[in-house]
Amino acid sequence: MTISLLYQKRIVRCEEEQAPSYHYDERKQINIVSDSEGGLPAADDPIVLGTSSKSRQRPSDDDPDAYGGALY
Amino acid sequence: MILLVTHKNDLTADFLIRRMEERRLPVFRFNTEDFLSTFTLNIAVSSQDALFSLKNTITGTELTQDLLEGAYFRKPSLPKLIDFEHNSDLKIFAQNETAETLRSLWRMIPLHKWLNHPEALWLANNKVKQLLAAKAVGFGIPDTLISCVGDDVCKFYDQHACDAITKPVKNGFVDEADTTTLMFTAILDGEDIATLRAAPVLLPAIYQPRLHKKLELRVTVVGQQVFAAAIFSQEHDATSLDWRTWGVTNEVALRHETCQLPVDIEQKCLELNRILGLQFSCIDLVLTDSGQYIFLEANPNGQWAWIEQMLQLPIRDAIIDQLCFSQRGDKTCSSLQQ
Repeated sequence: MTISLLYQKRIVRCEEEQAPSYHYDERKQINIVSDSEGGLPAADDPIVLGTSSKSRQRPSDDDPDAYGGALY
Repeated sequence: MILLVTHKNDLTADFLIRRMEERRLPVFRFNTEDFLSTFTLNIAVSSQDALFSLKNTITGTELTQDLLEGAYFRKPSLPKLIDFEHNSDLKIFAQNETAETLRSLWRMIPLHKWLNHPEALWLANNKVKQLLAAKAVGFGIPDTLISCVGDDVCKFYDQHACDAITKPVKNGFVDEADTTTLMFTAILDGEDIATLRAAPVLLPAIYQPRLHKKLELRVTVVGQQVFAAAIFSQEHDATSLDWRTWGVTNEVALRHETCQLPVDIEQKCLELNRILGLQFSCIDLVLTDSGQYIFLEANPNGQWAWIEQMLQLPIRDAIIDQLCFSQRGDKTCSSLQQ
């Protein structure tokens, strides 16, 4: 049986991450911007939404299964 | 204490926590990928009690049923099971066991404390269920065919003046080797019709007539509050068919404006949430050239932070109030606002 995937050609490639890297602070329970090597925090103020498809957290990321919806 | 079930890279959770801190509300962020490393859980059920204890072993913070005011099921990830990485069979077993243990925690938390209850999320996420619910509350909906039979899709296409779109039955990211891609709504063209006629079986997809849009609306419903944003998707070719591509390619500056929905449309949004068993959803509507509001889909766990940031709509406060309101039955939580 041949199965055709009709909309395959409409796949849109997501942009690479352009936002600063983040460092999750377990005590503050938030992400804070890391230094250029991605190490120690460079700033105490978290950047909320980034510029990549996932860190941007826009409606393309609505799918609740995107992060493991098997946990319902 | 409010439980926030999510993963470490959820920046919207950061955004929400910052507001909770401003309002001096305690939050327990449970990044589920770190279950069995940073986080531990005990569940004890007896004829007298049903107790749970969720602990952050780094901070020493403990959440028990007595402390829990409300719970937000955001974007949890599957737990990382580093100890099982070299045994794939055992890893599947371990994944199933850990996932079921977490589900046990969700089910110990009363329905009214959730935004949204995971079972309601799972049920409401189905697009046909959404269309049926939207129809039941009186929304206009597009004629919709879900099919894997090429001939039947061609008939549908002909019946709608050869002007139709296709989109995935579900949707989401497709992670390949080193790239992430997304499937969006696409117009059916001559090449597609040739494929449809030639293929014996198609992967199922949704087919709908193309709507002639004036603008689109993203309606965020939190409890009984409705926040509507008009999105001017028709101002750019790149967003005219599916404005969500804006969230991925960043090719255009997509205009958003706060708007007031007609009362009957607002009531339909609230009623839709009610019959889907949701306290929260992001509803996508189209306002057509002829002035009709057409329901496209509901996103029971949709993204909302960009709307608040662009339009200053107080969605965070509404979510926090709802999480507190579910426990106390009043607005005490709001009174803590600075």
